[in-house]
Amino acid sequence: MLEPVQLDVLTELINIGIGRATSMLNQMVQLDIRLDVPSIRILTAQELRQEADAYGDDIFSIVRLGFEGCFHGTAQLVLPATSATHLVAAVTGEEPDSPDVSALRGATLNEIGNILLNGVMGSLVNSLQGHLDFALPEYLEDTAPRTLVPGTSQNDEMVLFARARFATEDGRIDGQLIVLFEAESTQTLIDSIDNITPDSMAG
Amino acid sequence: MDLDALIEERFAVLDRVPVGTCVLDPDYIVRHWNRRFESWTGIPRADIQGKRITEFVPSLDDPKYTDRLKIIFAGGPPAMFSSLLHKHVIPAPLKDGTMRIQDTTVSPIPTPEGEGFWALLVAEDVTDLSRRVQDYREMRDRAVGVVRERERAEGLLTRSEKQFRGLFESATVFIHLLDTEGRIQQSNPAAIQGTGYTREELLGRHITDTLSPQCREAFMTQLPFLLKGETRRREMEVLCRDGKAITVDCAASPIRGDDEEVSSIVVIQRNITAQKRAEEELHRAIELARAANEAKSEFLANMSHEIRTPMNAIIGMTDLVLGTDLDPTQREYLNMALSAGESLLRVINDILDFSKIEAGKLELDPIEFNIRQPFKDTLNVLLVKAQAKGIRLSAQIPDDVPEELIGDPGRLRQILTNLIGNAIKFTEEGSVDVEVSVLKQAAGRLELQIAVKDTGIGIPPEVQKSVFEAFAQADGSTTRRFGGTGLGLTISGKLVEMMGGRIWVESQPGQGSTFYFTCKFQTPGHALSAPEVLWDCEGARILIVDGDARRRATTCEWVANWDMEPIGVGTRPTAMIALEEALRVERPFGAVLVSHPMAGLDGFLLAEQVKEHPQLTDTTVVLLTAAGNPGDARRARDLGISAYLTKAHEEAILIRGLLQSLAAGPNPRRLITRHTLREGHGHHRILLLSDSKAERARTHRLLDCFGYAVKALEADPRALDTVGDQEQHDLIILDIRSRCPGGAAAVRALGERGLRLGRPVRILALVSASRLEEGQLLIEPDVDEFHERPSRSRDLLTLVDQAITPSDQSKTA
Repeated sequence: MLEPVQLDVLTELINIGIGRATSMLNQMVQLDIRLDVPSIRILTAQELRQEADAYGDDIFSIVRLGFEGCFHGTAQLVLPATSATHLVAAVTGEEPDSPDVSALRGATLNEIGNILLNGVMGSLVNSLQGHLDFALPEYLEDTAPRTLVPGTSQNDEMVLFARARFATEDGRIDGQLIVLFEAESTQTLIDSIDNITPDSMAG
Repeated sequence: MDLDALIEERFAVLDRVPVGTCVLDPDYIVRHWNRRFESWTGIPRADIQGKRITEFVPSLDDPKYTDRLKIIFAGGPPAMFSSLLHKHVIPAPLKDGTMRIQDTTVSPIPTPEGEGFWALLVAEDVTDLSRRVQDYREMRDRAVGVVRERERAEGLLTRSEKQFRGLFESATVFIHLLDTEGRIQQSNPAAIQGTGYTREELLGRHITDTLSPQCREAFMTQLPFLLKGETRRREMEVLCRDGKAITVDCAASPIRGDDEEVSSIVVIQRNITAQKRAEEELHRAIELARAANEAKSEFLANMSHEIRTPMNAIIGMTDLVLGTDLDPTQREYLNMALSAGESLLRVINDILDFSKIEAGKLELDPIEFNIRQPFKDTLNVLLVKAQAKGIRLSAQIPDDVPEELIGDPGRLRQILTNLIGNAIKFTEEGSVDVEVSVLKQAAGRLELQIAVKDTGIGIPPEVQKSVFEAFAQADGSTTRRFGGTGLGLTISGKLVEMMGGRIWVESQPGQGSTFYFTCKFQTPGHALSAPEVLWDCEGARILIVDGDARRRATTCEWVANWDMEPIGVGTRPTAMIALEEALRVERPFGAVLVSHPMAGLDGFLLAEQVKEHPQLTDTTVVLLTAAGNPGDARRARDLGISAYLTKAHEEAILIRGLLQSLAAGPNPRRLITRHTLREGHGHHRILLLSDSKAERARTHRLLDCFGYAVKALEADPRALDTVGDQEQHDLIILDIRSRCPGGAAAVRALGERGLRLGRPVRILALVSASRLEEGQLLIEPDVDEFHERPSRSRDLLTLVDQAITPSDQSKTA
């Protein structure tokens, strides 16, 4: 299990990444997007499934970035369909119901998601001094449970589930940033955290 | 191998991929530029490799790229550059200037030396893919739309079905759903409960099986119309399972399927058995009431006959007795009896009229008449009462009121008698004045307003309206105090209404009342000619039919006095025999005088029999009656009777009517009545002074009947005081029976009066045979003509006629 200190460190690391990602995004598009402080929990695969089920059967626009290396998992931007449409319209300057928006939303969302996820993961990689291989980001429209839960995980396996809310002031865009560290990597992650934490703090 | 060769070898494979690829080192030097990029951008590999890419694509210096490329060169996660966000192809626009949709992925790749990372840019043309995605999305959205719309419609349908099901289940009317042949497919719980059948028994059963036999055919007749799309509604009788019949208001309507064809029929039946029963009971009650009312009307009609017949006899006979020699006491008693009889007859007539009004059977009997006559008659009758109370009674009929009108004078007289009679009754002192004015006069039409003004007790405002209601008098005490049935005004109101007018009252208690009424008359197209009278009636054979032997004898005597030949019979069959016999011997009767109704003789029946006899149809029939019944005149006219005479027990009326009938011949245009006898006369005014009250009355009637305007007074100088100075007379008749000195005094007074007014009048003195000598001595010198009083009316009339028109010897009346 994560010690409170470890949890704090991880939260801080992800928070730093989010900060960077937000400034990148805001720099690129004239949008005031806020990312909340993430909540981080260790869940069993079953608990994760329950967590995923809570999203229901709605179709979401999802940008997913897989990673491997010293630890593996996925980083995902999860947006309800209307939020996705508004986000695309906001960054491209097109009207939400324009056919162009519809045609290009995949590529556009992919890049936005990529920026955010890069920001978070790049920061993590740098801080934890570990090497990670990233898959190419992919854009999906699917239900949350199917994309959130790794197909291979067993019920009693543990995952680290980090989630941050991602929203504009006016509430028209409201999504989530989720980073999932899978079973084997969880311990590695904890170790990595311990490595950068002074002994006294690690307790 | 040098680095360039190494790079060449390492990236050779990239020339074979269908995407643009480019490799940059951290200094942005292009290390590789594949063939696809060459062809897309038109920048040859030789030109760009080894040079900074920003020389060709300056936009890549933008921090939004450099910041992210920095992560790539550090081995961080790959980056995506989308063409929409960056508005141009990365790294350069296409050669042909078109904007393609391009996804560019930038990934770190290890350097050939194995230290650090370079950036591999892969640009993919996804225009076609994007278009396909777009098409797919549109298709998907359309499909989703269709599905959602269907789901929504189905949801609505389900809801509407549920609502209708609820309606069907909870309705209190019977609802059956039938197939197009009339078989029951569904029945609601109310129908099941109401008819007693089970659901299973009803389903599949033909609807007519639930109807009573007489309704089955009716439904089958309706069915084709229902199938044509029409709606049908009628009352039906439903047979319940237990055999009980229910009356229903049955509405059947077709239901159309999706193909617009009638697919089923909905039958809605509302149980109206209770309502129906109530209606039937009401009908029965109404029928009973009607029957009761008819019985009442019939009873009253019978009563009319049964009461009036003896009343007519009582009055007629009393009047006859009064014409004989009586001592004063006997005369007084008989007069009281006569007066009481007449009052009773009036009450009876009021009640009968009222019952007729209620039964809607009261009818007017329009004839041509002189408008002044009913006023004169009424005032004449009521003058006695008015004088007895010391009330002045007058009537003003302006000259612009036409003389001749068509209307019902009898009913007009009835209204006048009632209003003026009331006015006198409720007035203790002062006057009763009748004023007539023309309201409207148009071609053939005239509307009059008549006001009867009194100075009596008046009527409180709150009861003014109710005085025209039946049995209402100003207050209950008036009936006790003044008598009367309380029906007079009601009847008058109704009569006025029938005459096209209205009646109202204006009154102040203590200051008298004025009753107004209006009525409409027609004006005849021609002037009423003076009725012809057959003076040369000598030898005419007259059949007198009267069941009363004594009166028959009297009538025969009167007729004989006029030199006609009377033959009297007492029954209808003998009358017929006499008439036929006269035909046989070719000495037909000039006229038949039939008394009606008297001693079992129905005059109308005889008249009808005579008129229907082929050889007797041109017989002149005169009907005589003591007191007439309303409606008799119409009946008489319809039968072709020449004259219908009331109070015909007076010689003057009987003879005048007979002479007029003989002149008019059989089947005259107008019915001769007591009222028409006086028409066209009154031009000669006679002042009649007589010392015998009975004789004075008889002579008065005779002269009146034969067309003179008569004022009759007692032969006494004091009586002359009542003659106004403005009154003018064409002749004064002095009829003296008793001692002559009184008469002589009267003659002197007349002479003095003539001298005073400068208007001497001709005087005809009549003296009875026993006083002739005395008269000759005392009277003859002062009069113009002096005669022994003739015993026969005819001779008297001749004398009067000669006296009044000395230069003209022709006998006109």
